[in-house]
Amino acid sequence: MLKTRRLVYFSLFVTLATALGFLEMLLPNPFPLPGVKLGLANLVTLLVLYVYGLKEGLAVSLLRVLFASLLGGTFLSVGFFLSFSGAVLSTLVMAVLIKYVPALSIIGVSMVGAISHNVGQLLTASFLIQTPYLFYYLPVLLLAGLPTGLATGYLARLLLRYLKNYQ
Amino acid sequence: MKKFRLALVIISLGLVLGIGIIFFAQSQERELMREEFLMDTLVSISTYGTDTDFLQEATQKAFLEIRRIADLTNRFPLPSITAAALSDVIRINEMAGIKPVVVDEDVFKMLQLAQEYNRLTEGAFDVTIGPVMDLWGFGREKQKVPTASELQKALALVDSRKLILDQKAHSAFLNKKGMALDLGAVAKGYAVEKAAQVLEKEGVEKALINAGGNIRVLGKKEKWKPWKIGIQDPRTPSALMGILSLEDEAVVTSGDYNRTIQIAGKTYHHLLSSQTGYPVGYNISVTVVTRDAAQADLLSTALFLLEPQQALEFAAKLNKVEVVLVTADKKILCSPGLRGKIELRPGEEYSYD
Amino acid sequence: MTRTDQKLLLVLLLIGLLTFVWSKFYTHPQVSPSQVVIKVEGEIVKILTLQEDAPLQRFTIKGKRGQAIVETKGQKVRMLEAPCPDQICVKQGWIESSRQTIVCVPNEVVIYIDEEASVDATTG
Repeated sequence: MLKTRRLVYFSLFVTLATALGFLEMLLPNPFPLPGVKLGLANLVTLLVLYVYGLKEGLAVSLLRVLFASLLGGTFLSVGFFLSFSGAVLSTLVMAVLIKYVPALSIIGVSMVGAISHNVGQLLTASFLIQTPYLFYYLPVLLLAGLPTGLATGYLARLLLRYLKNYQ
Repeated sequence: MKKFRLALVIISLGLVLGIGIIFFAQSQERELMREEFLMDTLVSISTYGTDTDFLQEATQKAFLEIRRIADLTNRFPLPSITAAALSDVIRINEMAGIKPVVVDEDVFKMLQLAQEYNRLTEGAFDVTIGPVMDLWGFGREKQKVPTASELQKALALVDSRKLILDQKAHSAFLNKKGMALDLGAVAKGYAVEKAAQVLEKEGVEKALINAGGNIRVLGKKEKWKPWKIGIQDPRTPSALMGILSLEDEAVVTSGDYNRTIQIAGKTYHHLLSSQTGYPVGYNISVTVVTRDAAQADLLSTALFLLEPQQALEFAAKLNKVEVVLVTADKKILCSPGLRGKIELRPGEEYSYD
Repeated sequence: MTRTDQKLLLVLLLIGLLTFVWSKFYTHPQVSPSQVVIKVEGEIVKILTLQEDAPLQRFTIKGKRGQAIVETKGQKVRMLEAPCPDQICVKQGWIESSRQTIVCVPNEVVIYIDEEASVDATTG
């Protein structure tokens, strides 16, 4: 019974992340900067990391990148590799922080997650385009990651409370 | 503590918003640059906008227009070309002294323009200079300095008044055998202007067309910034003599260093006098700024053929025509209308007021 | 938000701002190792990044008419050999600033240096 329940919840999370990720792809970017997003999909990853753990978090973020790209028709495009690397890096970094830096709340973790998401994308982008120039864009992505990370962090804390209550 | 937290959030959000706005203007617009070799030169068209596909399409149409004008005005038949595809200019030249040739509307307009300026410059500017050009061998494999008698014969064939244009029939006729048109002084500018019109019609608001120094800009570079167009130092090709600030304008330079031929160690340029048949030496270069690239192209040649003072007076009588002129003794003269639009910074060998 | 969160936020904000200022103001002079762009028939066929102390290098380019040889040394570039009759491109010699372009019309080869240019185009 517990296994089934887990599976259902996990699927729900993947669906949610995919939907949010896809929604973000469709909506006009509220930030006039390429590569900067609110990161609603990351929010789900963050929650899963807290509720379950690294394995599930990684699975959710990988699956949602895959599904969102299939839905949006960007599978194996440059954009796909960008969000893929961003998602992987941020999930790993957040997992490490949750495990080894307990002094950080979910908000701090979310901030670092948002930034590492951007950094991961940038790394891949500069590898794909083969120009070091992209790194001059790094500070912008870094600064942009702070408020988006904060926002998703606060949201995540709110949601986590409900989830904890429910469980 | 709560207040501190709130302040932090607000500050960082504000910062990002500010930076976002700074980047907004830069990141939204894209440049599309395409180059093609046309009319014996490199033609580049840069267009700016948010939709690259749209820019691509507009640029293609503009190139098509340039190619069309090039094919109409080409003076030397390509080996591959069929008789039916011969340019209007070749057909007019072949039918010289035989019969009028019905020509394309654009060719007709170019000829009208050329004839008008022939009249205004009292014969100094002449598109029927073809026979003299051929004598020197411009655009051909072999070049030589013509003899006096050869020149005399060729010059007798140079007279734009013997170019008969029939508005009704849209035909052109050189009424003496051996006469030949050379639209080299108009065609490139005309093509650039037509290309600019195509871009404008397509809805492109910001563009730069450069056909080997025949430049036409659409709009401004940025909201508060005009296009910056350098004028090459005529004697030091790597240096700039001055920088022009332009918007929605054209600029063309004719110089004694362009299209030259070498015969027995001496250099001759292609801007030939319709009186003597020799390269004209009053000026080193003439740069003309106007609204219309065709007019700028034609005028840069026409003014080059005049004495400096005469050229400036002539330009002053025309509406919205500005000139930067380098005289044979390396004096730089600017028309008064350029004040505030040009930043001169010539090398030490030049003098200017 | 814990104390650690706040400290982290401050540190990240500081790093972001510093790197932003640094990237805006201090790096520009050294940003431009000049890039040499070589185009044949309007298509980019090669982009070379040139450092100031780069040694002599040679490349063959296949143009419309035939093979041309391009030579670079430091941040300079020139057309060493070209299969065109007029040899204007070869005679032009070295170019090293973004205002300069080597154009070989017969062979349809263009070589230019790409850096932040002071002018948008040049007439002459």
